Amino acid sequence: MKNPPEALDRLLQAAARAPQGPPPPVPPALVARCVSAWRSAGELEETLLLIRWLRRSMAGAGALVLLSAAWYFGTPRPAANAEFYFEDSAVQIAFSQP
Amino acid sequence: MDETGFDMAACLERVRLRDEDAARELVAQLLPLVTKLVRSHLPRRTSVEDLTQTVFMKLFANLDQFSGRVPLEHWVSRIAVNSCIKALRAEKIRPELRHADLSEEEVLVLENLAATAEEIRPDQELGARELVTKLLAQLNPADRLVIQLMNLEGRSLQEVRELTGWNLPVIKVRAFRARNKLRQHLRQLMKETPR
Repeated sequence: MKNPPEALDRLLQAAARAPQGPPPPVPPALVARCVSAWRSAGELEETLLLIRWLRRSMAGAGALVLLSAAWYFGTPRPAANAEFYFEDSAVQIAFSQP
Repeated sequence: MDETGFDMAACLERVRLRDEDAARELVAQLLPLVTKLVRSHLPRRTSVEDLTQTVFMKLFANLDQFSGRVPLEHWVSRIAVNSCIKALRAEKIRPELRHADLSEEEVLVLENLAATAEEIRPDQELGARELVTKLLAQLNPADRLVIQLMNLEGRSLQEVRELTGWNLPVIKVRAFRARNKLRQHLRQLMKETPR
């Protein structure tokens, strides 16, 4: 048996020399298929952009609602029966005047 | 503009503006190059059409990253080669090659290698090619690619670097290891060859 490294080189050289027939023709439909995939990907991308924009708009609107609610409930307001005290104090002021 | 009158820069600009005719022209222009590369490095269970489409989808998706500093063909070749490596990596199972799996022509080549130190005869070169293809299937994708490019296609280190994006020391080490593994597989087959 010959030295395997030599054998490997001879094998690779012979494989490299091996005639290769003409490459099989490129299927004409392949161009259309690739372009169609490109078009679909573009449409999908536009849809994804729209979805992303809608999602951000929803998030923005949600944040606005939360801020409004926080402001509404966080601001101190007079109690429900404060009107009685105002009127009472007005009566007392009126009577206390000479 | 190239010798065929195809203006690549203008075509790319139109593709970026989503001109479908330009996309068709670009695919038609690059298809021979891409299919040639894909056929050379095709995983066993993948069709040429599927992998070619994958390459073009990557090309279109990353077109904005193409700066124009290198020819588009180089850039596309790299995308094609990397897509093939990725597809080859996905193919985890590598069938073990046994002597019984070899065709008559491949056995003749092995016998010739074992018996003489002379070059393989021209009528056995096809058998040698088939045998090498089977031996390469035993290697991992990167090793397979480096042998395919350097030993079978006769590409220089520089060309391999441009195609794969690997640096020169990596290519040299990979080639050395790939040859060693290939040598081991060949040695195993030669042991099984009746003398």
